[in-house]
Amino acid sequence: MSKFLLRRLILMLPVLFGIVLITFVIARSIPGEPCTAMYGEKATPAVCEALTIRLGLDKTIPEQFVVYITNALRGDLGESVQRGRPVTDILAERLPTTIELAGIALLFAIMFGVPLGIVAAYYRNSPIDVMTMIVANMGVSMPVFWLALMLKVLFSVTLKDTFLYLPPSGSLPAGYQTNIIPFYVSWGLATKETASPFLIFISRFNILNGFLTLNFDLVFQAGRYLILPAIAVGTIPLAIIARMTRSSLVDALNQDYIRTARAKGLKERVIVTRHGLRNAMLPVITIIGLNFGYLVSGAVLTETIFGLTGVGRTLFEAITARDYQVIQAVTLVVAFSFVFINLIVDLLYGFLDPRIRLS
Amino acid sequence: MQEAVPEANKPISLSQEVYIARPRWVMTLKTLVSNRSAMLGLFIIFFLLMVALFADFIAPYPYDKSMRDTPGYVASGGRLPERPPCIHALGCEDISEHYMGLDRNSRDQFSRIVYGTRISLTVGLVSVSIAILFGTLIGLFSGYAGGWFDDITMRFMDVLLAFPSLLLAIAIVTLREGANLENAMLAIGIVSVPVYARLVRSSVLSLKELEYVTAERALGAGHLRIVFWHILPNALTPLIVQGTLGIGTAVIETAGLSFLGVGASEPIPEWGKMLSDARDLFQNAPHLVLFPGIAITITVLGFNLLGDGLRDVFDPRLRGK
Repeated sequence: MSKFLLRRLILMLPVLFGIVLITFVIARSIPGEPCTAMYGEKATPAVCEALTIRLGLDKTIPEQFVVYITNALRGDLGESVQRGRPVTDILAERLPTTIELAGIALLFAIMFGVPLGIVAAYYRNSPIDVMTMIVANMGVSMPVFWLALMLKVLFSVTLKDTFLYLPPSGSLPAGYQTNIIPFYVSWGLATKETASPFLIFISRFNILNGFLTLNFDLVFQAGRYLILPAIAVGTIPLAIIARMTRSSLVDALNQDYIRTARAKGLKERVIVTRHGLRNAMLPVITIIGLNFGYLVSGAVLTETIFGLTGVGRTLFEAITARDYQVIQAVTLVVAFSFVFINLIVDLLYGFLDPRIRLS
Repeated sequence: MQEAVPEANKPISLSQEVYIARPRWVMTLKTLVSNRSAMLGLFIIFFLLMVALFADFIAPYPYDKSMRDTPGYVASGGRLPERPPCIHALGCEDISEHYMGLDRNSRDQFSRIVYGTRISLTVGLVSVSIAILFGTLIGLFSGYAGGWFDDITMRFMDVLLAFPSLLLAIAIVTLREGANLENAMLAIGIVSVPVYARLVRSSVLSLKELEYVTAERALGAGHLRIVFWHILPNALTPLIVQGTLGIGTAVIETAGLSFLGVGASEPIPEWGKMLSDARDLFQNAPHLVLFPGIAITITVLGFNLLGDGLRDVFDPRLRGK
């Protein structure tokens, strides 16, 4: 297993290098001066020159690339021109929102997608199957931002005075943020002033922090605000997962070993879950890994709709402001996570299917 | 594709193919017609094509004409420009009303949606054509040449695939200086090149080892002739399937770019742009959110259904399931 892991890691290196190179090139080729984008009419030649030197833009492109890589390896992704703060700080602040959103969306997609697929496969060609597949087809055909707007219309406008009302935007009720006690304070690990960046980063996951401090009101409030965005972002993955589960399980249930299991007199539930589903899960897991792209695009498109301050929104603002360092950093982080998620998927493969591990 | 038939097909269907001595395309067409979802998809696409072609006759107003000065608008007492639609099926008698209401610039939304069909179909076709053209070329040469050329190209494609397509598309539009529909189409085309390149390459890898290619080479055919004349035609099937599905994706992604403000600009009636304009009106004018979204969904659904159907038809292993 460790040999398998090592080989995979070595194979990843050129891809990771390529990602760094491409993000660097893209960020440098975005037309327009960051100086004018940042200072607007106040951009005098003197101001711009100072900024150019501060950002190292006066050096040659290869030189800039070397500086960029060495800094990145030390965890320094540069400084945001627009906000005048280190990019890593901005990311540390905003990543938790996006990760939480994507995580809950994925959870939603798996929790509903897999059972839907199982039911459709088991009762294939029945009305239930047809209905499920119609819903799944609609799901993949819907633009995520439209779904987001429609959910807002339904749950925040039409159902305004019912118990089903859900807030249209934001991540917590107004003024709630100040009452939150970070988990490291209530555990006595550190005070708000002395906490390490890692602890602060973890405590920014509202729902996780709520669980860790047994503050279930926080979990409830944060959850309420995340439901609509999570449904919006999770629907396409849900539909894809449902379709994949169905087709893969249909294949598995047609195999000889299923007939053998039936002949042995096993219960249907055992046949489907232990013999069918376990063998049908490989493609489903691949698809779940590949859905990461949808989750990120979904976050970019919906964070602004739901007023969430996450990475997607940050990226978009950075592009409008030509904030090179931020664009670079966000694309880098996203692409790297994609590569690592696929690595995890590959490892899961080996875990689920001994044949792959051995070969 | 053909060489897989003896293994994958059960003896019964093999003998069927022997008995019915009809050309292959007739068989394929027959399977396609009996595939319900493909037919539904084809019907939707045909309908959309008709709407796009005859938009001038279907749309009651030009897509960029403000209704502020028309008698109907004045008669209504100059209500909110984005007033809810009068839906005739629900018993609305006022004929001068607008089927889907007016947008915030007092333009007839129904006409804009109708003209929008043209935009979306064009965008889908153009960007998929760009992707197929470059993807096929890269895949063909990379797969045929093999060696270091293949390694480098495919690693590069892997890198491109590591970015979520929307992010990359946004970046490309920004690079092209100026957000407009042409750049959006180009960006979406470029972003999906790796998908087609890998698809074609994998077909080429298996095709180039076949005897008929070796025979061709023995007869003295040049590389270009072998690649374009003998390998490409046999690699077309997965391309057609992926291309059909790709049009749907392209329509959704263009709408996404326009929604974010890096796609179509005023007064082009692009559906994503229309949604973007209506995003802050969702409380007072939900119909401005509803209809463009339905239009996008139906269009994408059409191409997805046809693509799925085509895949079932072309993949002999799935036949008769």
